[in-house]
Amino acid sequence: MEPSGSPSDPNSRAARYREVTGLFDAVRDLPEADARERVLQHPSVEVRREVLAMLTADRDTDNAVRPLVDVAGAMDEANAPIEIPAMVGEYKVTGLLGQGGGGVVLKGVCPRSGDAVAIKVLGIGAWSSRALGRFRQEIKLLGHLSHPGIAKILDAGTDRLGVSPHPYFVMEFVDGQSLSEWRRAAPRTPREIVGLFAEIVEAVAYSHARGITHRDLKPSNILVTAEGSAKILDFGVATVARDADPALDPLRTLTMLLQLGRGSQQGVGTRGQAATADGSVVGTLPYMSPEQISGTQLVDARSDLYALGVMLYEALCGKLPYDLSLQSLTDAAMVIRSEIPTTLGRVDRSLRGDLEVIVSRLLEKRPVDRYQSAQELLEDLGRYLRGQRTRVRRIPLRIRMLRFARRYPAYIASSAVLAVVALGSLGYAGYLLAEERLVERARATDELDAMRFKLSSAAFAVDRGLLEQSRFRLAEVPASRRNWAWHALDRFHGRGELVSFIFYAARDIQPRGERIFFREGAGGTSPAVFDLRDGTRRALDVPLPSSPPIAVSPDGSRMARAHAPDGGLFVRSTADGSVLDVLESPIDEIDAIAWSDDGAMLLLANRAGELAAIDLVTGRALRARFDAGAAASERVFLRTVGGAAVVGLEGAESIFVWSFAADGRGAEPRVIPLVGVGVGAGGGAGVSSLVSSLEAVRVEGVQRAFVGTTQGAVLDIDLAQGTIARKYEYATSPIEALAVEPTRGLLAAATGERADKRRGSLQVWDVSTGEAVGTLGLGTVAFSIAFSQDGESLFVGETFGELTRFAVVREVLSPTLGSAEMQVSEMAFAGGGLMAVTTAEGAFWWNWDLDRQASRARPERIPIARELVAGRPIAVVEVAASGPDAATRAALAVVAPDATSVVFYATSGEELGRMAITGRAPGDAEPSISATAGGFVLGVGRRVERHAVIEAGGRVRAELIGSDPLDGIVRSVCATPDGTRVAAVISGVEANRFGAWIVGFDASARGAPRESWRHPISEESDAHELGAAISSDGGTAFAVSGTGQLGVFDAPSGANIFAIDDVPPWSIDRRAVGLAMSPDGRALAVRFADGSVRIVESAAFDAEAVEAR
Amino acid sequence: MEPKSSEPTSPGGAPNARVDLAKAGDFAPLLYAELRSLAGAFMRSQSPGHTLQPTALVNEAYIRLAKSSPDALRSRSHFLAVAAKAMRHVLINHALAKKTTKRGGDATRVSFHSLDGTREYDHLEIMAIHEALERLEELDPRRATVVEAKVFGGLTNEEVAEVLGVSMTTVESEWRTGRAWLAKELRPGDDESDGSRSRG
Repeated sequence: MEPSGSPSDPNSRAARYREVTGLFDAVRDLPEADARERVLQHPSVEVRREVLAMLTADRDTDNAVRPLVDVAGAMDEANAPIEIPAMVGEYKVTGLLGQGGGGVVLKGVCPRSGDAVAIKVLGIGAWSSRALGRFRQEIKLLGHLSHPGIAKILDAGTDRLGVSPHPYFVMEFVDGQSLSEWRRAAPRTPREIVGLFAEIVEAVAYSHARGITHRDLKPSNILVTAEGSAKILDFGVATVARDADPALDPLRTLTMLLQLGRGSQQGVGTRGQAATADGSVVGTLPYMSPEQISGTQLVDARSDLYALGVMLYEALCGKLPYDLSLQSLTDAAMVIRSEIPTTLGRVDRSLRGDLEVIVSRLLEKRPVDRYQSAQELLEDLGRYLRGQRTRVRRIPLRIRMLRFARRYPAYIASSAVLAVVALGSLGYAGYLLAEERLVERARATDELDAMRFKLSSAAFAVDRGLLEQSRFRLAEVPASRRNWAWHALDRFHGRGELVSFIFYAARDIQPRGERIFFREGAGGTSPAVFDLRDGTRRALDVPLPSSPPIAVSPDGSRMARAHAPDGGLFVRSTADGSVLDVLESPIDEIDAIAWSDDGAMLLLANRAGELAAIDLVTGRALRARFDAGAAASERVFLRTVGGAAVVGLEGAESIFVWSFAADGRGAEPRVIPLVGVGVGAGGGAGVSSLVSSLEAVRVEGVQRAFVGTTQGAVLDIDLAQGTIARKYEYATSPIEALAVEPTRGLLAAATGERADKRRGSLQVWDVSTGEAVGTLGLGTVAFSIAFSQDGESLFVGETFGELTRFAVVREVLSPTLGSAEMQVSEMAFAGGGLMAVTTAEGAFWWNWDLDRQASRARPERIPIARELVAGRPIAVVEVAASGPDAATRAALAVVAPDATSVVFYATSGEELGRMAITGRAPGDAEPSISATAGGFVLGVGRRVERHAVIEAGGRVRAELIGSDPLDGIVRSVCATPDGTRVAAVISGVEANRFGAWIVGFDASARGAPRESWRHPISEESDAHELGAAISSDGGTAFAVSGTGQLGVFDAPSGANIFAIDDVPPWSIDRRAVGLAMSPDGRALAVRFADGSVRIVESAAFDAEAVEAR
Repeated sequence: MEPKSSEPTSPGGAPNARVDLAKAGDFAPLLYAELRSLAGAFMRSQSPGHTLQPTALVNEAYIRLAKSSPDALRSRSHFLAVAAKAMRHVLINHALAKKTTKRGGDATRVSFHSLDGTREYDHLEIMAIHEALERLEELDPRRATVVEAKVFGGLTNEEVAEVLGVSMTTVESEWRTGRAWLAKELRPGDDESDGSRSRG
């Protein structure tokens, strides 16, 4: 492609380009043959080749480079006049009220009430369905704000207008003028103005008390009716929009503009636009608080107070506090952030006094210097109106902070019992979707199915956020029938007004003993604690700042919280809320806080890359910096382990470890890169990972960091080595939250990813083996997850505000046993952890300890009955557990390799006796055997037989008790230890259909087991891939089908508890082909088609056992 | 969603080296930021293996800009030229993001439809077009501007003529030659720009 000679020489390249294009231009319009001829006369072969290629391309219109983007078309489309739709949703449109920053406002009629409504249709956007759903739902919840000073939101929905879905919401129609119009319409006295503002502030206080801030208060958002009362529009909409998708934030473009202006120091061409209509930049800018403008600080309810201050200033003296009309946007932002406005009294002498102080306090740059709540402001306005002296005074900073703290010494208003905590079993809520499918199949005549129907509809209700309805449904179902999957439904949320539930989203969950600390409120505004002992929830601090980080000391006695953006740091007692300490932060802003493990130090970090450690005893502070890079991270993660702080920025390519306690002075943070680094000791392929969440903890004596990545994996990092020890692949969307349980070695990670994109899921791994041990489907997306300190519970805080507790039930007890080299073909449990298995190498006892739940080591192998091995499957099963140790306590009954006899062995290998098997036809499956107390059950041919074992003089013989003939061939049989219930899987023909069934037998009476129910499990009848098991109490029967999936049945009634086509999480990638139940009923062994075996905790399947936890 | 740099500069400096957005217009950085953020939101909301609709992005970005900064958009041709440039960056950044994503393969394949719907370009092809255009910018800036405005802006010859202050005939000729040159550069086998196909 490059010219011959020197391709890098620009002169020669340019020359050849001119040569080539010149020749092309000269010949391109000639007939093809002539053109070719002329080109071929050129002396340079390279030029000839290139021009010929261009000629070919010129004629080959099919493959020509085509335009990709039509910017002109897009612009014209955008400029097209708005077509007013005749209908939006079910609302008939009657007119256009206006066009604002966020979209179009239409006037319409409510079809039900006939009332006039205002419909705000939001602009086109790159709406994800998740954002749409969340927006719609949360806007609807704003409808619970009911105050005469707030325009009520009536409805929300999505309508397809034009090509894309537009979200809209419907408000009550307010017939009035905007605040500025009202102010100009007639001369107003200060009293009159303050009177109106008192109304406005009361409405703001009402909303703030419910955790909802406005964020976009301006005169055009306040209407004054003919009667002279004020109504605030769009309350909470800005926040909801931002939470649904940052791109929807009506203030986003402005913020972006400001930041761009700040970054590049260039104007953005807004000079002289101050008078532009509402919705444009300048309609909003003067009312934005300094913290909103800076874009890096936390914005909270006090921003609304600032906006009220600007409006009050403007209303009183007719001017804005700052003259921004001739400023560029960048300069205007600068003015708002730093300039002290001319006091009201200097603009108008008559306004000197209390009113002036009230307004100047509202206009303070630092939120902490303003009124701290709308209520406080309302009280002062009331005093002013009553002619009393107002409370506010100017106070020096440090004193002001302390006084603020003392003013709320025990803001521990015990705000009633709001949440209760539910138990669920970790692992099976993932079946909720399957539950929904089953609604269609529900038969009301079957009691269990009726329950299932109720529970399924409860699941539906949860899915739709109708928790009350869900709880109502659940209440109709007896606890014993709820089963494990349904515990997850029994979630808890704020009681009373439904609005509370979305705004109690729990973030930063920090369990300390029996108390669970978290932040709640929209954006996590309020620290709160939930006490498991009495089920009460109470606030721990004033709900003012929008989302300052909190950290609770390891012993749970103290809570540290930043009062950003002031840099003030409060340490409060968690017992009574009293302020124990007020610290000046050594770093500018605080984005993350953590306690050292011993509770003696507080660690701080911010996204600018500053780190600090404050010794709470000496007051000494250490500082350090890490490279925060250019990424504008929203979140900073800070965790401590040992004497080290681990810090990560969302979206960054590395994490940093700061050994702050190393030498008393603090060492430099160490970088651990996450990109291009291999996994494991040997390195391996490099990974590419950006931080999305982080935890640091000591597990098995190793200090580790677990990093959730934007690519949906979790990295296990050995902090001492600085290496990535393991990578857990889970999802393709970011890991939103992580939790680690150090004692049991469990790692949990949550992601927003699910098939329908609106729900989240959570997976748990065993850190020592790296194997997944459980999954959990979530109703929405988890903000925060945390294990309780005792490791028994997992707390999940979800998008819609529930704090849910799940019991941690370890589903999978064992590592994967068996292997490709040593495939298990048959297996049976003896007592304790003793399990007999048959492999190609021989029959063995596997001894492992059920009490050491994890049983991480591979089990000890004790060879048994080696002489029986003939390279073919044999059934091996214990018949009694009598001896004191593994060597003698179990005798073994084995179906001999020729399948003609049952042989009894001692565990030593000594043969104790045998019994001939009769009645097996050629082609029948191999006999299946299951031990009972004093005997066994044998499935052979088309019979299930019951035998007693009689021992005499060291010899063993069997005696037939009864035999039940069946219409299918027995594939697998399993009896309860007491022998009263039997489950078998049979295959054959029934009603002209081939298939397999699980059959339940009642063997409580003497004689033959009697069939009591059967349930189809498969339409195939493959002999080797059907298995049956029954729980030791006879309550639950299990079957694996020909397709390797597990069905769960209520053993007495035969009701199908879990559909056979639901796949348990541990068998997603493996096909289950066999089952064995331990005699004590605690463990279920599942054998897979690849010859591996996993031991599963059977309690995970047992509703009562879960309940008992 | 973009991997990292908020600046329109990529590793190696290649894609954006020669484009000075600040000079392109006061609102260029904003338009660029809007497009990028919209594209990011758009990509997040899509399932893997989808196609990006650049025109919809421009439309949305324009609406947002028109609301926040109406004066900046008074000159139609000015906007069009800048939008084409910005759009090119957005597409290239997406292609780059795809290239550097560890999870390769079809699952994260992103393609871009041509305006007339007859062609679909995957991210490697977009990169190749971009890189060829860069070479053209070095050799023949005016022709490169024409090609850029046509490919990444879909401008009509009239519009391009207005932006550049040249005649329609010139634009037609430049476009035809530029397009043939670009196609020649993109011939299979001649592309030495990229070994990333082996990445999987």
